[in-house]
Amino acid sequence: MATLNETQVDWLVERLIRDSIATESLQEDLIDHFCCYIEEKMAIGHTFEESYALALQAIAPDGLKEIEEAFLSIHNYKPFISMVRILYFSSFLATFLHILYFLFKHLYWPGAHALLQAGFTVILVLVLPSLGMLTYKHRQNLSTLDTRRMIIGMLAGGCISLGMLLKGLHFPGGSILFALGCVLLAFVFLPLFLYQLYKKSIAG
Amino acid sequence: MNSSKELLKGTLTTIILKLLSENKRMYGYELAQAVKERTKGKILIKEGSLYPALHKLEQKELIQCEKVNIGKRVRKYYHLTPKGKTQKEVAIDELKEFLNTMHQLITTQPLYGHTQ
Repeated sequence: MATLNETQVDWLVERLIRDSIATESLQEDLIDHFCCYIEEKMAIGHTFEESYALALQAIAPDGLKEIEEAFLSIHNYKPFISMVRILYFSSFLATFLHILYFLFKHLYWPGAHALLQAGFTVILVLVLPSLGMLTYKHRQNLSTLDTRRMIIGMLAGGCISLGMLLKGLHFPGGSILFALGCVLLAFVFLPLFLYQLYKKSIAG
Repeated sequence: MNSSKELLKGTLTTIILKLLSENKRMYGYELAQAVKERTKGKILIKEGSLYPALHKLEQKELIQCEKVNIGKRVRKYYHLTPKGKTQKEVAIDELKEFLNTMHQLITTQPLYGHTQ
């Protein structure tokens, strides 16, 4: 079986790089894979161009990027698990601090204000960034409406948390941010969320 | 008929380990072709599953790769490590046990021997 010449290999490399295969190790694997496939097709009489088109259809009908994403997801598995842990732990901590705040406030114990500030700080610094990163990682599994809801929810959470922190520290702008967050949460996020739940329950 | 992608998902690493144990070294395309030929085209390993699986096995130090230059391109030959050889036995036993249990569940007869 004939081997592809250097010009043909160069052309393939250029195509793969153009199609955003940035990982060198995967590039090497895929270039050899494409070359083998093309050589096999050329051996039965196809031209190089025809063989490349057939190879692309057989190897990556949905684009080469999909292969790279599957490849990268393995390398990003450990950071992904850490991110999930941060999200769950920080969500627990934020809820815990808010419950304590209600308890302290109700019983007129000192320190309620600090608990509330700590709770909102955890949301702002840990919960929302980790949630944002996980949403971005799973963006392909989310519908457009899901993505919009998540973004609105995170924006609302961010505005409310930052607003409350600024209010607590008597800095300007806190009330506006807090109000904006509440409006987003009550008038956009919540109706959208309940609508999606309703649609899913009907479909399910 | 191509076998279900979901059914194949959990068995791909075992298939790779098994094929590498039977051959001194194999490259990605060769592995995919070997599976296709052995199963008479019923199982087609997609490149989007094959290369991530190979790199995962490499990360776990079950296989190693050796690069050979073929003109301007690089061919990566994969081979089992001593750890991979041990793991291959475990993985095959697990798969056999699973297949036997599934067969028994569906047909009420074990495929071979007795399951626990």
